[in-house]
Amino acid sequence: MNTIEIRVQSAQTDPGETEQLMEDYLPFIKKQITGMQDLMLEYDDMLSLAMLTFLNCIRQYSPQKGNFLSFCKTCIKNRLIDEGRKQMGYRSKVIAFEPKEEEEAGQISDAEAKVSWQLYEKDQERNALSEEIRLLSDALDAYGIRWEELPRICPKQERSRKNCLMIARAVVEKPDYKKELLRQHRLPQADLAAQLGVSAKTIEKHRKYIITLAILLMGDYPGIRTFLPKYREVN
Amino acid sequence: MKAQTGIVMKIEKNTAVVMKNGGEFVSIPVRQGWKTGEVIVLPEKRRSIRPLYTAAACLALVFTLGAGSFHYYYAQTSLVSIDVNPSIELGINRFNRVVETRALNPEGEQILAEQSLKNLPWQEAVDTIMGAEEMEGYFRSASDIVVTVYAKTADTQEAMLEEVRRYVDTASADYPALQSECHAVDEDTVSEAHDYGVTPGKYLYLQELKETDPEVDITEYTHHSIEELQGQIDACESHGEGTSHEEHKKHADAVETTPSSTDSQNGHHSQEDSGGKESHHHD
Repeated sequence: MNTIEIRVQSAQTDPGETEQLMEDYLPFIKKQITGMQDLMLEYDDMLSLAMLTFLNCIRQYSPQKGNFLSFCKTCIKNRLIDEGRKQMGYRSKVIAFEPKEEEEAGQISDAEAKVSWQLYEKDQERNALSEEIRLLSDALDAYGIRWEELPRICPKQERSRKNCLMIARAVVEKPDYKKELLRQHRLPQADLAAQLGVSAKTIEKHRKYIITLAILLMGDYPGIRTFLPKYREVN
Repeated sequence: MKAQTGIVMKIEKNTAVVMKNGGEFVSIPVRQGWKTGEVIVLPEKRRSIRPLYTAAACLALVFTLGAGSFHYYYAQTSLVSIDVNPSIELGINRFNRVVETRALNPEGEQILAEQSLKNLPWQEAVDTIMGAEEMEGYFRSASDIVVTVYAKTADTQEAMLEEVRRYVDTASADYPALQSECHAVDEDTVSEAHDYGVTPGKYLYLQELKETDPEVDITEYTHHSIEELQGQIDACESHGEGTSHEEHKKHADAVETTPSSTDSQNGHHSQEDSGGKESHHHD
């Protein structure tokens, strides 16, 4: 068994290793989406989907599936094509599937197997995300943050959201700030403002959103985190 | 535009809270089959026609303001006409700028062709016309220059008449034989003059000719110069036909000086510096 397969098996029980694997193999994940720009998806969305699929592959991998990276490669490609087709489907493009006679016997069952495997994968992914959402929901509840209010309090400008993410990361990375947040459920606004050169009013204004992001970054929510621009803009 | 993805974080009744790629939370109507934890392709925003309405309203406002400003600037509130042989009219706006120049005969066209008078202060435009090289020839040969002024308000008209007289006097000072006349005219006179295709100044002379010889068809004289018209009037008077020129002048002198008043006999007004039609003869 190669190193990667050993690491994957370790990651299945160790969230820290999962996170590390995703970081280490980000170039590999990015490589999978190059050449798939024709799909009707934004690059960031494709990257998130690819990362989510990679995460799903880590969770589902078993040595019987062979080489992990080849397995991932196929899964990511299928997933992106599937999402692309779904998007095309929204645009009323229906392609008739009529196999040739000689293909009927064997390949239809292959196609059916492929579809049912994809459905199973997606179901697994949804279940994993649902569990993450449930845990996150409980964690936010402790801070008095409800999902219903997040669309209203979330900054509308991308730049503001990036600033909030930067502040959240600063909270997570500095033990004192993290401790203050976890114990006292509040942000060290003055210190953050001084350290990051942002207005304390801005931090106060987006306090709940920043706390949501900080909790998301701190906890075991790798699936949800794939939708944050952690790897793309902030690093 | 390419689609965006998001994770359904919560579904309550018909609304889903979705975390879009990038960390933005949105609240959108639930679609069939959506479940919590599902990665969805966000439905493309239906293009609202509100921005179109806003744009249309802005355009309408711009056009309205633009048209309003255009009209406000280009609305003519006063007029100055100059007749030697060239017949020229200047349309003047409320800011005392020339917004229209009209030549009423080929000689006038020639003068205006050489000058760019638009948007100049009217005083400067009058000065430019008076100082034009071509005008020198007319001033040397002609014996009469008639300038009329029309303004919507009496005060403006009076002030303009004063100013125009100064310019005319200055310009004609070098030509001893040149007689200058400056008149204030009312709106009706301007309108009637335009009906005949002449300046108000020339129209005053045509009216005078008509009074001197009631049988004369003034349309035949619209192309005559002021000097020629004066000659015709003098000829009629010397033959004892119709009202004498002097009598007409007396009548004109009696006309009220306000632009809003009307001349019941001639349908025009003339206003002079000293309460009557004034001729300056530089000896």
